[in-house]
Amino acid sequence: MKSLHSKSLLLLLASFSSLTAESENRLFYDAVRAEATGDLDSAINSYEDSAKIAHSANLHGNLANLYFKKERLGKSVLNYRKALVLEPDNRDLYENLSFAMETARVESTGLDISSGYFRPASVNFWAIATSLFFWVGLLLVCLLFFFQIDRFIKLISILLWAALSGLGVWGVIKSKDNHELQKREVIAVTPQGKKDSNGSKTLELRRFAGNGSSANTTVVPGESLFLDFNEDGSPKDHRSSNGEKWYLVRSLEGRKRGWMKANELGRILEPNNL
Amino acid sequence: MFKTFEKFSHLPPAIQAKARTIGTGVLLTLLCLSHSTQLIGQNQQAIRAEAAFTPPSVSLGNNSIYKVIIYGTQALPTGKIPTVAGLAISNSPQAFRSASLINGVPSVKTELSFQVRPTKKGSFSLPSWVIEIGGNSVRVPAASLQVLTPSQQDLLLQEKEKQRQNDIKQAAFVEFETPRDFLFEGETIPATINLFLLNGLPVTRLPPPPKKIGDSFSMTEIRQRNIKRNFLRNGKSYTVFSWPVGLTAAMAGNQELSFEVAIQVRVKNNRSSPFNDPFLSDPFFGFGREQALIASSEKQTIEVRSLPMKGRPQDFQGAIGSFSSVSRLDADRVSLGDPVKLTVEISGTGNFAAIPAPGIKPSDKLKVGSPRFSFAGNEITKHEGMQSFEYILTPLTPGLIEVPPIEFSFFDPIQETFSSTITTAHPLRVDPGEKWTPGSPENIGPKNKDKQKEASTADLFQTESEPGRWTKTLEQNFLLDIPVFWYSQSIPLVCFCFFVFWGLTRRSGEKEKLRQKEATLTRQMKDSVGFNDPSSFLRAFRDLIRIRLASLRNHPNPSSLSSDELVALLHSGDNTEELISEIEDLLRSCDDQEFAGNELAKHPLDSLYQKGTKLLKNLR
Repeated sequence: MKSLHSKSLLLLLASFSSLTAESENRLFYDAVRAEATGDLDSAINSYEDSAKIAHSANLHGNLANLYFKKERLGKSVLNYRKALVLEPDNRDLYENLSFAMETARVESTGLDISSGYFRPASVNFWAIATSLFFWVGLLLVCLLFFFQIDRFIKLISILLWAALSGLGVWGVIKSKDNHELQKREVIAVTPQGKKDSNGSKTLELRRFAGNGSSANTTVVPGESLFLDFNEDGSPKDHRSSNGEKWYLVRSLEGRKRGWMKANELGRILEPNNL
Repeated sequence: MFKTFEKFSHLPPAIQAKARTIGTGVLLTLLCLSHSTQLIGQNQQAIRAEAAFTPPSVSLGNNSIYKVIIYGTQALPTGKIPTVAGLAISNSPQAFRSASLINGVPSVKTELSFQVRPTKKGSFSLPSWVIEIGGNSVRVPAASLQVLTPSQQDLLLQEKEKQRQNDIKQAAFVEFETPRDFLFEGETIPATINLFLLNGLPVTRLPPPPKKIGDSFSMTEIRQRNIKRNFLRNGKSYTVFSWPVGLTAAMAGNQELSFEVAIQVRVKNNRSSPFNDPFLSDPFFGFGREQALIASSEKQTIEVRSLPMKGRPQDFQGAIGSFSSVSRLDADRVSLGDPVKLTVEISGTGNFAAIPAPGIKPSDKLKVGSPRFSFAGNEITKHEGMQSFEYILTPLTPGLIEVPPIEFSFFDPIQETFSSTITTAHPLRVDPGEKWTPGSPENIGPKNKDKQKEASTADLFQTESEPGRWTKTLEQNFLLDIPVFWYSQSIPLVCFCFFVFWGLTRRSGEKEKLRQKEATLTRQMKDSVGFNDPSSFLRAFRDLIRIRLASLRNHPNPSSLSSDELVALLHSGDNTEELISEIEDLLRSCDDQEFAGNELAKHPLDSLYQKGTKLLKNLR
């Protein structure tokens, strides 16, 4: 009876997952068709709906293309960055992002996504490499120890093993740090219904969380900023009297710092909407 | 026997009386035991079998029972009943076990009853056969059955049963209609399945759709049900339920097809008179019981022909029917990389459910995505209507390009020939679109703008027509967060521990060997003093020096060390010059002894032994 229940549950889960897979595919194809007929707004809506269910590099790449055509460069940059999270080695996406950032006149590149060896996606590579360096090296050192090899060779081998293992650990730590930073990274975007082409429109970082507050500095849509976090790991936020949510953000080097409205920010990693 | 009690006459009377009582009890117990033993002996009676037909003579059309009685066991036998031409014997007998006391003797038996239906008249004998019971073989004797010509009453009963079956058949039956007598393999035809229910038949619920019997045809899903009331057939009034379906022939040859459906009817509770027609009257006004009545159609043999090979086009993909095709392009001018929709519509009659999308010839100017299907028309039979295929085309080169015409081949079952329909070609102007300098991850950002301009240009923003691999979250799964990764580290850890253990064991084994060798050599030195054998003494001394020095200096191969190398090793340690020179002297004597003979014979060996022992002790 129990096994029957568990089988039914598995069947239910499988059918549910296939249903959701069908719906995200359907929305994607609907979006491509809408784009083919020139209805870019419908295409964007379908892509956004699909992105609420699941993500793919092609989905975010296409969405970024459409936002670029609609001159919403912040959203375009944000979606290219999302696509690059899924396919970090996709050269086309890098090139499109480069062009979109250039068009948006973005000064700051934010997180150094070009740091190939220690980028956030490299954590697993470094974990496996460290594990291999450590254990294979340890076994080899043991072999040298028991087989009475020359002391100098022994010393060199131990040093090499320690250095490689250390490099691996450092790689893990550095790429994990970059990942933690990416979790805090947000892209400045213009709210729905406004264009932000040619960098003519800037967004203000205010001294206090309120519309009446003066601006510390400004950023252009597409620019990278980083959320300030509380000690419990949640972003520092404030809800103003008119119900608007504000977040405290800063640039990577910390020169720009201030409060921005939630609808002016897009987080690269989930949660999708702030 | 009572004399036995007289032996106790010298005892007091009370004790004598007690002894008599005990003796009587013992006697009675012995009697009971002997009787039980007799019973057990009778219980272990031989297993035997009897067989007979009950009744031994029947008229044709009636059944008899072939009964096998096995005495002396209640175990179920195994065996194969012989077959007799003219008698249909059931393979699943009813078994009945019983136990009883006959004249005070316990008896057990097993009865097996086989239903027997004679198919012709005559005298039949079921031959003797063997059954296996608990490893024993028991022979079942032969039995005979007389099958007589049916009596007048039997004939009347059979006639009545036939009439009843016919009535039931007329009360509920299935018919199906197809437009043609034959069809081609893969062809779809519309068909109608009709269920006729006689008015007055006490049907308790609406009948379900009929089931197809015959694997050579596939059928579309049955959805719509039409009802026609008071339909007259053979002077009787029926309610007719109709289901339109699409039938597709799957295999060539003469294929049988029929339909059946189980309908629920109410019958009388009285089952004692089975030949009363229970279906055609409802005397209990709804208080009877429900019973399933199978209504079936006659088996129809339909000829399914193979498609001819002659004249079959290369791009034929199995479409059978009569079709026409058109295509249209959503835009005639696009930017490079922007997708454009091409719709191909195939309309007519035929096997729409089996038509694959027509292929578009691949080209280096157009990327073609997988098409989307949609059907408009008779959704029930899928035989008539229009099938649309929507392709997403992505131009890959700028300029005026042509979307090629699409050819669609089909087989016309009426004309019995292959035909093709072709769409028109569409011109498409592709504008070059945006240009930009391809950057690399290293030169993203405005600071590298000048460097980028020097590089070659490429076309921007290609829309992908396929979604690619889906993931539920943008967050990566890290190996470090998965317990399996950490558990897997135990594998190399275990290997490492094993390796260390093996190495240490090996090392201690070598040390032990060395220690034993040293002890042997020390003993050899001592013995050679006793035997006054300077040659053996010096060899043992030199080997001891080698082993000690190799052990102290961690030399891998002590036996390869020459005298000069040994002296060099002595110098490398914390040894006095005096010790080194004394050892050197002895080593030279050893070499002299080895190469020049009995030079050392003049030295007393016992003093050399003491000196050698002392030198070995002080070796550093």
